[in-house]
Amino acid sequence: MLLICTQSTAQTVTEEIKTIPQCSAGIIYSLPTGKQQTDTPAPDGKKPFYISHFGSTAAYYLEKVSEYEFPINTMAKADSMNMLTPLGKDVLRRLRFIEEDAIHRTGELTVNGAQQMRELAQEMIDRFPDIFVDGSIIDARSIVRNHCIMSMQEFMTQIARHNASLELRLKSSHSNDSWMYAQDKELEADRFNAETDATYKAFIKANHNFKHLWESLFVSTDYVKEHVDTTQFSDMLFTLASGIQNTPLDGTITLYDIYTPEEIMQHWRLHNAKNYICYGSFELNGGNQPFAQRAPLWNLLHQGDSIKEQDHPVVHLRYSSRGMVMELVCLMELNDFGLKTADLNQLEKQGWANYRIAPFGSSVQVVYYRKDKSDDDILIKVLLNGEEARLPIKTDCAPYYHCEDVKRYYLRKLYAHEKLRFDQKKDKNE
Amino acid sequence: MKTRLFLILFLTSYIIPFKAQPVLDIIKKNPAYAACNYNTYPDSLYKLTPAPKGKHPFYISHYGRHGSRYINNSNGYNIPYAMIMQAETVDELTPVGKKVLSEMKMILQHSEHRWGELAEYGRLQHKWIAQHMMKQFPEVFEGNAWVEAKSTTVPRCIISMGTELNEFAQRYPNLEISQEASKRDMWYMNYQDQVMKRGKLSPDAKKAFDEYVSTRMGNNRLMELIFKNPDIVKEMVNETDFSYYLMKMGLFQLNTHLYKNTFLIDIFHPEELYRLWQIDNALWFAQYANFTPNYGGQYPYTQRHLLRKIINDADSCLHMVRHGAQLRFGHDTVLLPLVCLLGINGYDLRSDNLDEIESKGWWCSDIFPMASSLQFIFYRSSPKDKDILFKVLLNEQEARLPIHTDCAPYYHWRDFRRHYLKKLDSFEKKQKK
Repeated sequence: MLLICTQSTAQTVTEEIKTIPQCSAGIIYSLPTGKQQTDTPAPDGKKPFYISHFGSTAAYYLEKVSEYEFPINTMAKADSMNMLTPLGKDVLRRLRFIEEDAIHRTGELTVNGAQQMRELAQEMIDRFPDIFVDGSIIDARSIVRNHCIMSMQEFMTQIARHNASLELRLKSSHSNDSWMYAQDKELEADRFNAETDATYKAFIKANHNFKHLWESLFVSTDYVKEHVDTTQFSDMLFTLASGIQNTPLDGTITLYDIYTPEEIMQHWRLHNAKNYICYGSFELNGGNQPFAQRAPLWNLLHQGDSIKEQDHPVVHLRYSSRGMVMELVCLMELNDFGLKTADLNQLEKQGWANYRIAPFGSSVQVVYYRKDKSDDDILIKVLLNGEEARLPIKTDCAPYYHCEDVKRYYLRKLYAHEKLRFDQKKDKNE
Repeated sequence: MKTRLFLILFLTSYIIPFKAQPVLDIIKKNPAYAACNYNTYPDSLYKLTPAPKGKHPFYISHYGRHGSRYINNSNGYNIPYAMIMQAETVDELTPVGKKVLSEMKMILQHSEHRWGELAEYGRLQHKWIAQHMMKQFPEVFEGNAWVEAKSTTVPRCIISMGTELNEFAQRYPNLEISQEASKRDMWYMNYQDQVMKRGKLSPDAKKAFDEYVSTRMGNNRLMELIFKNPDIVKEMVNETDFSYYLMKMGLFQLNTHLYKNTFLIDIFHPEELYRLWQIDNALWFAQYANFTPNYGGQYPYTQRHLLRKIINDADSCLHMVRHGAQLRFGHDTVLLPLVCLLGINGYDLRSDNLDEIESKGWWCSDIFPMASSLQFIFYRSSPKDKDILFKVLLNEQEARLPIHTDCAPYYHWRDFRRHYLKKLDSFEKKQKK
């Protein structure tokens, strides 16, 4: 099944999720493969010579056993008291299938995820044949999380098939955490400040009307009121519904049938808003969360410089978490995802949708172009999840940008943030 | 280093009764040998016996250890470091002592954020092994062959697996490859007996080990080399532990990219490294092999699940038309008892006397260096062949099994099955009783 949620279709979020409910999974949605990408020809006969890729893991099972057990236990308890409707009983049966598939696999890459990585690798090879030639260096690194390491390896094994003369490197080390798994405790501490917390709670209240769901699963709403932690249960049940697409059960079992389209939208809205608060430029918590990824952006800019002298094409593949990818996309303001607002309702209206930014298998790929080694006017284009992306920078050759302009823009942005932090610290000390 | 390692490996490649030179001589030429499970793995392509007449290799079953890695945590390093730091604060270090301290600082700094991780050298070892495998047994990988790889869930094992698979994929692009690192397989990929592991050594075994160790620990010469007034320093430095852990610190570096810096190893005499080897060799034997005072010497049976899995997996592959390999990536604490359980090269030696294991050739450094592996190479004339032969490679060299054969180093698979399944059944029957 080809499930494609992309902005380029110019659909609204509501239309997109209505057509493909899997998109409502947000960052649990799996980036589809097999889409024919069109590349704008590079100006002046320039050719790609370097790809810097910062991507997320492919699909994996939920991390904790409790994420499977809690909804099942909630329903099993109701069942033991004859409080489930026939649909409720059937849902419990489906949940047990889901749990069985995940036993002893929590947090591990799924076969669907492995397949996705192999296909994405093949798409990269097919799209950039000039890069994957004899002597090219393909240097892959992953954060020290097993599903990330396995994602990297599936990707690399596919690349390995392509050419026996590629130089392949694999690494996964905590010594790279500072720029591959960058976390900023100070920014994190601000995420849910009092104002944000109150705003998000109000947003939850406005998007948490699941009366229909309770009535269809349980025989008594009184029972639900008394015995079910509805906030946690509905959230976890929807997470299980979202995750099916990433497992071998995809196409065999679904849980989307138990929801109305509006319920699906409400669940998505809640997760999307939370992702925006944590990783986006939400004004109420300072709008600076994406700066947590300043180290990967530094790295990306500087690596580009060091590659210029290489005789062979180079690919840097970095595998990190979806949160990191999302922050990086927002920091780079790709496709206007740097959106700054204090109104969570604006996200849907302005197309800030988590599944468009950092689903499983997502990536930011910066592709460098030049005529030859003597060419000083290096151009870059950025692919967000495989599609040519828009940068907040002036250019005369979109979707290509002059490398120097790009560097200057982002360096100024990073330096301005450093100054802000410096000033804040100074104020604190005074 | 490479030439030296090759020479050593060549000289030590013989089965137990024919070990060509004493351990001390080996250590003189290759100090890494003293590191036991931190022994480094060489890039050596060994000469193997040609395939049995009319048969060809078609299936490989493998259990291998991850490649060279950093030490798992800083505990072992912190012990000598804390001691020497104290001596430094009271100005008790000689010039050599000061240099030792600076080396230790560098090693600690370099190891930070890398504890337990695969080193670059470890990745290289797996490239070599994959290349050797393809060179020695190309028939296994040609045509529409398959490779199924499994790793424990430990990152250094996963990367070791990925490195080998990439080599295969580059050479054989059409190879069907699957790779997995799942908790689902841990019951046989990394089974550790909780009772024996928790208890480590039984009281009797501990007593015997302590006696064995008592004459081999300590190092007055080192104390005088490093400290100005060893008598004063003894107030703050435990000579035994300081010497033991400092030697380890030096030896472990041979696995990392600091391998060229042998300063810390060079301050030790070969005889001192040899005594360290004796202590560790005895400990590995007492804990993981057939040391009878330690729970009756039953530890190798902890790998019964793995052995059954290897047998069952082979049974299901032997008559497949397609050729292929099953590769498993795990740990020394699995490989060592497995080798002992199988009795490869006489490593099923049963003994209650730690003083005799060295003279009887039970040398753990030959069994489980970094990237060590056990490979079963299967041969047949056709998928219908009823007399399937195989040979075992321990660290890529042909090895001997304690079962009868008329075509050594090859063995009849049916004989192997019968012998080991009976052995496992008999152990499990006794356990039930």
